[in-house]
Amino acid sequence: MEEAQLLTDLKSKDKQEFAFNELVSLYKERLYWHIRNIVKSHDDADDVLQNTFIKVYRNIDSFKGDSKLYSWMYRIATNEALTFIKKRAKQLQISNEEFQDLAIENLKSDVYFEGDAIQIKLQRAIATLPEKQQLVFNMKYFQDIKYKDMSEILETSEGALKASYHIAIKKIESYLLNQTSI
Amino acid sequence: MKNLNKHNISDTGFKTPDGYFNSFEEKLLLELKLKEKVNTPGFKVPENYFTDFKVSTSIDNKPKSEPKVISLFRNQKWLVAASIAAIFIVLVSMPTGQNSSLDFASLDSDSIESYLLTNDFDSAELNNLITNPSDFETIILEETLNDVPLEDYLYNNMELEDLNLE
Repeated sequence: MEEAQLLTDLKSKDKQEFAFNELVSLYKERLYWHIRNIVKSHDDADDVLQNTFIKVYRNIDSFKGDSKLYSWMYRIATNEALTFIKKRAKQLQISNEEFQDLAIENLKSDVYFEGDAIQIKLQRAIATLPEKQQLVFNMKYFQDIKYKDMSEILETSEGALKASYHIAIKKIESYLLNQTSI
Repeated sequence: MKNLNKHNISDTGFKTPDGYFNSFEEKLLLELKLKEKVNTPGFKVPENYFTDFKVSTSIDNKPKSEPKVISLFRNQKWLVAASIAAIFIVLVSMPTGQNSSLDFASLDSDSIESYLLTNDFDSAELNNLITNPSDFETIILEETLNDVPLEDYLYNNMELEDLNLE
């Protein structure tokens, strides 16, 4: 189904339910992996994914179509995931960075994590990047999202995103090298 | 051949960022090297997670329209009337200067009792004073006063004219 048609159906009372199920089916996996890369744990990613779709459903009438539906949903997912981290960190009275470190540490005993030491190291390296650079890295490296789409989602120029990604790669490579030599 | 030479790259008008070709290989190799080491985050999902995934049905209760917000201050007339009534009550209940003077007779016995109970009086002495007022008189009469303090007292507290009248 074309995005424009899907959007029309989502705003129509008769077709809304069917269109929403279609929307969930189309985007659930992509949005899940995007969220999972931010929050790390499966249970947290599941909660955030639910909240993301609920927000999409509740606000679809106010979506003006200034950007692609896909980018709009990614933006909601990103905000939901970042807000989740901030809320949990506040509840635990620790900083966002400390919460992220804790989430990475918990991966060692997570049944839904099959990575080994190098994946843990990679996660630690990503955690050293500034928040936005982490998003850029995750979206490009693991999800291979086009810079054009990323530009719409993160509301940043393509040039700036390319530069940010390259810097992120350099920092991560350097982090991994230093960690190996220690 | 002559025609081909006319279409050299400088004629197209395309430009590349400074140092693009110099850094191209470096960028590409850096990413490839990293991907060789690790190219997946290592996350996995429970079996059939995506097949079974459903957005919670409670969202079906989508509000058809925004709930009506009732302003606390929407009834301006009521608010004005309530303000006037409140000011009136405050003015009426405020003590006025005319009622501020108190005399002993206006005190009710409960207040006096309460005052005596809450203040640190020697109860034996107080009792004695009430039941045997003659004792108090005897004390006063037997009290000897020195001339000098008595003169001082009279000098400070009495008017000369009053003494003459006596």
